[in-house]
Amino acid sequence: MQVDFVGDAGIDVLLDADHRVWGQHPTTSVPLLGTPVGMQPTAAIQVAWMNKKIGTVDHVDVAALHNGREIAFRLEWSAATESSDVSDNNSFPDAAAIALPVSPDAPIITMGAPGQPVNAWYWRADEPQGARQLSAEGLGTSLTFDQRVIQGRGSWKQGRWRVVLARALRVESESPVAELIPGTATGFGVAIWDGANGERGGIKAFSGNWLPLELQAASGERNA
Amino acid sequence: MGEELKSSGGISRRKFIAAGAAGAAMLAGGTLVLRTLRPTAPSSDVPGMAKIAVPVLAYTDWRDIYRERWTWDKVVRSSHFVNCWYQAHCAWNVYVKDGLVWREEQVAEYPQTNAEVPDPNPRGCQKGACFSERMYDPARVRYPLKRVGERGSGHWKRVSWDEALGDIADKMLDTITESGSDRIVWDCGPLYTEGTMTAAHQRHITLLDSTNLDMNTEIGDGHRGVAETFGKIGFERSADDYMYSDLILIWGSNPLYTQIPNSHFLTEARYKGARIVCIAPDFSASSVHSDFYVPVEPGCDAALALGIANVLVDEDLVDYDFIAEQTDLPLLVREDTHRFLRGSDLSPSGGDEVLYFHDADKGVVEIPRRSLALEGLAPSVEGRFEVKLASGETIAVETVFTRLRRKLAEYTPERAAEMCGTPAPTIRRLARMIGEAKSAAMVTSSNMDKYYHGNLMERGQALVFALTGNYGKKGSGFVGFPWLDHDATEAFVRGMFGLGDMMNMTAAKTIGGMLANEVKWKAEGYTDEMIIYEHGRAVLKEGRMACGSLFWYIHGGLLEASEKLQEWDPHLKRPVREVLEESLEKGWQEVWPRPGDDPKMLFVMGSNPLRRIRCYPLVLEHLWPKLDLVVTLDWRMTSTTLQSDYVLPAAAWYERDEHKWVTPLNPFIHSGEKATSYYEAKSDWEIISRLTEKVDQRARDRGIKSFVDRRGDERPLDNLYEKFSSNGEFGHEDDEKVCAFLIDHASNLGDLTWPELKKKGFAPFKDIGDGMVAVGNATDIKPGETITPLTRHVYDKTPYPTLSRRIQFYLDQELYLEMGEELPVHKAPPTAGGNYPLILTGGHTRWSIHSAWRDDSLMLQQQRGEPVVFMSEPDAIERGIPDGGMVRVFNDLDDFEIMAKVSRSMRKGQITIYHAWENFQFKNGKGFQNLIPSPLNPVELAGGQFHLRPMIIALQPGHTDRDTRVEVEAA
Amino acid sequence: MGRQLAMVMDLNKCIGCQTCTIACKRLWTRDEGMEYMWWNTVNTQPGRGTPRDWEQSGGGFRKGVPKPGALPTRREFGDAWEYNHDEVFFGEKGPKAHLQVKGEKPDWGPNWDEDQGDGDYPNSYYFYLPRICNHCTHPACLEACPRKAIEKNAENGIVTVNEDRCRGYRFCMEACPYKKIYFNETKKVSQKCIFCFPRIEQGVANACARQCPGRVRFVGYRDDENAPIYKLVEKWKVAVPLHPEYETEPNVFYVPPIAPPRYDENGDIDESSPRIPEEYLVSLFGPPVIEALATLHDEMAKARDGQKSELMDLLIAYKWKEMFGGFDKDPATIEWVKS
Repeated sequence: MQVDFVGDAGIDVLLDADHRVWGQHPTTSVPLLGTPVGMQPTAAIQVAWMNKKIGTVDHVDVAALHNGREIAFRLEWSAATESSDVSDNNSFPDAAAIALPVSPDAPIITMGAPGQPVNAWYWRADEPQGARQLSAEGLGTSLTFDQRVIQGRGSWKQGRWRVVLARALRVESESPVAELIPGTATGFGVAIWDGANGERGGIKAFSGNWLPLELQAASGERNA
Repeated sequence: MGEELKSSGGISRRKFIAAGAAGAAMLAGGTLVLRTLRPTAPSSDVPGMAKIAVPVLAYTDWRDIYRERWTWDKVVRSSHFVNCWYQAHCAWNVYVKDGLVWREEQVAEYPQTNAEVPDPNPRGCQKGACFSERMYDPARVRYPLKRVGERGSGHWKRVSWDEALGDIADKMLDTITESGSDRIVWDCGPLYTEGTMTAAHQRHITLLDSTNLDMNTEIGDGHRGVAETFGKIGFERSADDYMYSDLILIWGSNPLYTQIPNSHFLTEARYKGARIVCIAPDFSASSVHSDFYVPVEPGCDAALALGIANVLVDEDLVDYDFIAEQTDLPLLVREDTHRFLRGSDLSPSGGDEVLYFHDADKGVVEIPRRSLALEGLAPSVEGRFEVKLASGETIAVETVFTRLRRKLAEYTPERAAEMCGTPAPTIRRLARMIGEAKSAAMVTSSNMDKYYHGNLMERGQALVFALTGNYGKKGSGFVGFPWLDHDATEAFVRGMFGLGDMMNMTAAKTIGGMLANEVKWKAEGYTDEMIIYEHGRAVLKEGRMACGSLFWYIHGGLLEASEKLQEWDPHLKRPVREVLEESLEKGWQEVWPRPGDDPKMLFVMGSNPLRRIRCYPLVLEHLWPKLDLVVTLDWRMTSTTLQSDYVLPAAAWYERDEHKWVTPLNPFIHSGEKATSYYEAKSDWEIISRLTEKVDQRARDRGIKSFVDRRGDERPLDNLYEKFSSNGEFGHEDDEKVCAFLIDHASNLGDLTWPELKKKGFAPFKDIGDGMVAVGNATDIKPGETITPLTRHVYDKTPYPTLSRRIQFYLDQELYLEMGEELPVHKAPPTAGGNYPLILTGGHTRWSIHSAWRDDSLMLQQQRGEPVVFMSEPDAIERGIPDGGMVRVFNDLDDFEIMAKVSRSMRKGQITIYHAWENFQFKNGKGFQNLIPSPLNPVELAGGQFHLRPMIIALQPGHTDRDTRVEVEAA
Repeated sequence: MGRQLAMVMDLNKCIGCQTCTIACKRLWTRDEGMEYMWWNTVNTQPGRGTPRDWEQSGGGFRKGVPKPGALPTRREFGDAWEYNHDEVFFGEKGPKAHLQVKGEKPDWGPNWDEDQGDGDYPNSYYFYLPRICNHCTHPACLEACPRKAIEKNAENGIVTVNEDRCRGYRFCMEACPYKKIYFNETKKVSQKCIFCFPRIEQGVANACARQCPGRVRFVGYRDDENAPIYKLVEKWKVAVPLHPEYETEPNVFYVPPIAPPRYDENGDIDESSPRIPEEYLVSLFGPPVIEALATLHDEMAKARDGQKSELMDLLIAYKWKEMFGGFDKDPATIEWVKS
């Protein structure tokens, strides 16, 4: 997937999922599949989900833009109901995440492996105006290390979620963070959780193996 | 305006804590700074003293949040100064954090009496464990409130203390000068402490000659049957004494609800080998841990008792030595008049109180009156004898026991079973268990007295224990009214009076009269105990204690609900109003103010009469319009504050220096040290002190120099506050000095000082003392021994304060003869409220002490969140009522709505509403008491005879509720 | 394996007063998001309990395999009720306003079926069952958590939710067969009984145990042979775990209840006929409860005959502090010092 350079779009523009700039660049339809029950990290989860549909969202429309300073992903998917609160013990929020490899060999299926971290940006419908940055080195290991760097905006209208996740291209952190450099290529993954289906944690729809992510060089930057 | 009064208007505790936590978390960019934990002292009697500074810990992980939560700034000792009675009291550590009471936990330092009994620790209950929550909840009163709308409208204005007290003082002066001092009436309730509150109140009413209601029989705690039998009601054991019992009858009580801190002694006595029998109409919580559950129909316990007595007599399981010495059963009764054979029968100069028994050798002899010791006499327990009267006539007499045996023949187990619903084989089994027990004890509460025929039930119970000699022995005995207090209040009240002032004239008359009487009484062989009761009777005459029940019946209009009593009680021979008139005319009973003299002001302190009084709508209808002013002192809003003209905010229990009366069950005086303050709340001492000063000031301002009291004596007003404060010695905020005076002047606390008590939170009573109720325990408190009541009678042979000087089962006062109650009998309960199929009973709740926690959110959360009526499944099914459904309860009087709680533990035909729901918890404010007519039982109007004359807290008519008939339908 | 802290609760001494419940509530669960939590509960048995019908909610294991469990709703737990006190007292509405729960009327609570019980009067029966987290040896919650956010302390066996790691997924809530885990919707983490570890760290017994006026609860290490827990569980075998068939190996044990005998058709007491059906007690505590009851009956009979019984003396607990297996420090002796 190409991440077009839109040098004159500020971060506010990028965070506005309905801004026309998003319509001026291609959107990729990413097919999703449920995480395999056998891969769930605990036996209890496996037993509980043995005969239940995992990953009810079967595709997500993804677009991404950068302006040389920030990069934004816009995710759009159908959701018959808006699950945006955790007002009861059995209610779970809809959620979305972008995964990025920190080391090139990091396996996405297991959310990384020891020494091979994956960086994730995570948005949840119960906190629609924000997002978290996490890292993981295997199933069940994710750690939130930051709740400010990633910006998120989401809204549900007429059966569809539109969510934007954005971050500065370059961030300094002691935690494992994916570097995103215009003019280079990396991979990404997407995951969507359907709260109404009780999806949370490893129970989700995801995009399978790393998908290619090519960042268009920013004008004036020729050194890539 | 309204916002300001609401507790939600300010920072609630929860918000406060949330803010505090957020604040802490914000520090150092997400580094949570925590207090360090530093245990400094090993376990000891005194909270740790040494402080060692250690570095502040930084937040390391989630665990520190919890560690931080369990920290505090200081700990003080306190208790809950409410009448939780049988379970009173428990010493608590009050943990203060950020200037607020954060939580409480029991002190748990009570000593083990001896190695044969477990220690009482930790004591406490769920209500005490959340008072720190309750004291900050929305029921709290923050400021003096003045009613600005109609009474009951909930329309208030915040006023200053000065304005409130000035207005109240003016109304008091108006009343005293225009109508009479007795028209100012005080109703003091379950928050009465016998500490500073009582000290202030007793001084104030004594100075101003106000009427103070003795509400004990009104609330149904009068134990009339005990008083009729023992001449007193105040006797109870220590809870650890149960460890010496081999049979414990829980009868008329639900200690698992109402004696939470004492209950472990019952479960532990069971483990030690005692059999526990629970006798109750429902399979109560207390039945759960019993060895035998005995069902009985509500109000029919007298039949059960007499059925047991029948078996005891029939199977010769009687302790004849005991009854010959300790009871009136050998006394002689005339066959012709059914009255005791008296000295006046045998000689023109013979005394009316001289009674006789028959000795095998000496024939008919006068009973010893100065001691129970028989000194070689051998009274015939049974027999019929002939006696020649002074008139020359020869008549037949027989012993009480002979009459009793004949009466008991009507109560074979089979016939008793028909009357009380307890199966005959069970009655036999129970009787044999009691007859064979080494030491049988009774666990009772003040339940029976709340039945119309409760006196008969108690007389029957007392009889069962007397026939088997189960009194005085460790772990034995039927019991009365538990009470143990310091005995210095009278000294504090009298301490107001110096020599040579006008005020002292009144005091001198009273005290002088008392001393003269004492000499006379001693000469007549009165025991010290009897003399103390006679002083109590003098206080009743003064109006410093005045019959509460008759106040409400006559001035409160309650008698109206007794009009149909002849339809409800088939035994009644004439209208009760007629008996009441006779009683007042003959001076058997008294009422203040006198009938026709309308009360003008009502002060309510630590009390909630509009919740408490059965058929309270009549009181609102009849009494309230007569009252110029209703003033309530309380820390919280109640059914009564809602109908008051002024609400004065009292300090809650952790906000004052105070100590409180207890009972022998846990024989330790308890105290509290002021931990925090709350808005404008003041201690009751301070409120009354300031009010007294204000009356003094306003009298001066208005040029009122004196008033005429109810006895016609003129009393000065210009030195009122001087007297009240002992010339300034006890100032407005000198609660601690008052505490110290009372502790120092108590005869029964050893060398205890107030500072010691305050620090420790509790201290043992060394003796029962000379208090007007506690003296009835008639026992000694000995180190290393549990307390068993009545040993002074059983072992020291001190006479009982009855006409016969013995435990007395035969009553020959006119009304008893008229009603056929000269001996204990069973009478079916009246159909109070009309001929309806269900009997509505009550009982004290697990969830509140009176109404103090009834609307508490935490307590409600552990119930159904609103009032409930327990009903049996068959009754519910018959009426189509589901568990949790709303029902309408009604009878001839009125109706109300409530949630049904359908329980397998309930018997068919009985429904139960536990104590003390506030009227404001019911739709349209219609509380459940509105269906309870509380008919006046004429026999309770008796008097005249030695021990049947009204005394403090007993032998005054009572109010009852347990016989109420109702029907229920789905709402 | 490290040591394991445990609790024994004597159901013959539990009076259902809920002092334990309130002690816990006031100490740990009063913050925002915790209002509806009752880490300690006491229910009348038989009954539906809290959360409602928890015994039919699944979770735990069967033959070692996790059994799916339900997520009880806040209303099934009872929720936290708020009242209109201000309206009633100061709202200028007079008797038109009466005290009520705001919003939807509750249909369940943590103690909703108190004292209702079972059986036909006069053979009604019930008893009180206090419950906390069982701090299981084989904790279903811990094993269900995909985030390893539930920890079993290596030194004392206390099971806690690591709130730093917890993401509020609530797999633990589903997995716990005792339904003793709550979800904090404010903090969005699961929370549960922490066995008062801050107190335990200082040598102070749990608030629920130390504040229990019924003297129901013994605390201590399971392997402390001189302390009551070992004697009651291992030596006398009168304390048994609740629902052992859930296979989580609880570390809370119960001395089973002995109720008065039943009445026969003639209205006489049949001392051979237990009021609480044995099969009901077996359904709660498994077959070992039969032997535990027999031992209790025998020892109680000995005590009635005036003989000495070590077991009865233990259960009487003549010295209260000895119930706490060494965790008997008075908390008020601790001074916290801010530097």
